[in-house]
Amino acid sequence: MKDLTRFLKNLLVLLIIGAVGYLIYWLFFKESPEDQLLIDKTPIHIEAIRAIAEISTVNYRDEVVMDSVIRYKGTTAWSWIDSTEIYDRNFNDNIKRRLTLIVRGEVRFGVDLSEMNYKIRQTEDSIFIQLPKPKVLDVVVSPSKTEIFQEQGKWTDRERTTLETKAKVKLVANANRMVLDQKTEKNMRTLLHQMIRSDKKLIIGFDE
Amino acid sequence: MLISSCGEGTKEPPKAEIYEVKNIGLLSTSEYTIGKIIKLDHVPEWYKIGDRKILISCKAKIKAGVDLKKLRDGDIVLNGTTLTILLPPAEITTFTMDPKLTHTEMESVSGFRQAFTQAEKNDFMRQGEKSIRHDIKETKILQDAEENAAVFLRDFYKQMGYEKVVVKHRKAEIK
Repeated sequence: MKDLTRFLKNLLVLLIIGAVGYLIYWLFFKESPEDQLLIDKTPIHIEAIRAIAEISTVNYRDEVVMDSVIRYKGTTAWSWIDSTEIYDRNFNDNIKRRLTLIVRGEVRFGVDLSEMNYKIRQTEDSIFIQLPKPKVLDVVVSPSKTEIFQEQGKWTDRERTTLETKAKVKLVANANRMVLDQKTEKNMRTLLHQMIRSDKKLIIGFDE
Repeated sequence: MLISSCGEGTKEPPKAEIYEVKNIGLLSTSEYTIGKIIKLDHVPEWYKIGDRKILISCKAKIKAGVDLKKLRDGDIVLNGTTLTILLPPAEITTFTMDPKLTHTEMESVSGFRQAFTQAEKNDFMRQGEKSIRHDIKETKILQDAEENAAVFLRDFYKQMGYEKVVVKHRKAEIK
């Protein structure tokens, strides 16, 4: 009975020490996630202005997940200092660092006529329009469409940028798998037929 | 350290299988490259020791133009050899912030403060994006887009033999 009382007293003291320790950590060290840090007002700078002429006719919207995992190598001996590592090795699938992004983006297909690189020819009964080959005009990604799903450990900007760049490549690869070039051409033909009012027959071709 | 490690287990990332293919008809005629410095100087509560400061430079590529899908019956009128087109009002067609063009220029964390996480930096960039989207309205991007669209369509239709091409813009509806 005496031993039990002593054990409970010790346990209580340990709990109090732990609680005080956490309170100190929470008050002085931990950054409170509830407070959204607001950036200062700064002006924008126009760095370039360009006249373009791009007609987009297909929009592919997708969401890709990019996951980067770095695991511990070798073995380690138990110590209080390495408690995080011990936890991760035993209870967190040996994961040292992990960064997972969810990137929502759009891939736009169309034709770029900025260089006036199209030809129009007419005969008595037909109009021939030769357009450049459809291509990916834009890969639309932005921070508001990017979610940091999880971040464990320290990650550099370069590592995050690399993941985001890979996400863009993946978005385009997914879009290309849908063979959207043909759809782009079809939509372009429909659009031009709606825009050109003529009794002549409209024949639209695309460069190879 | 033991406390901070607990509950930090990794989650399995969700499997994304959502996609959508949409038919559009956007004529983008003006492209602006906008630069912005995102600045944060966090003054902590009195009981926290140290500062956190960061400067991030970013660039946004913004395109504007007209949505040709919004052309209505009667917006293209042919009268002899004169063609009159009433275009819908110009709008922002594309807004992209390339991650490669975003750089942390300065990062300073002192005292007992914690380093900026990537999640925090992404949040600052989101705020920067919101600010650019707001401030772009003050530039002439929409006006340029309307003028460029008129020039492009005039050339395009004139090549088809129309002697006179008149391009007008519908006024944006007030929401």
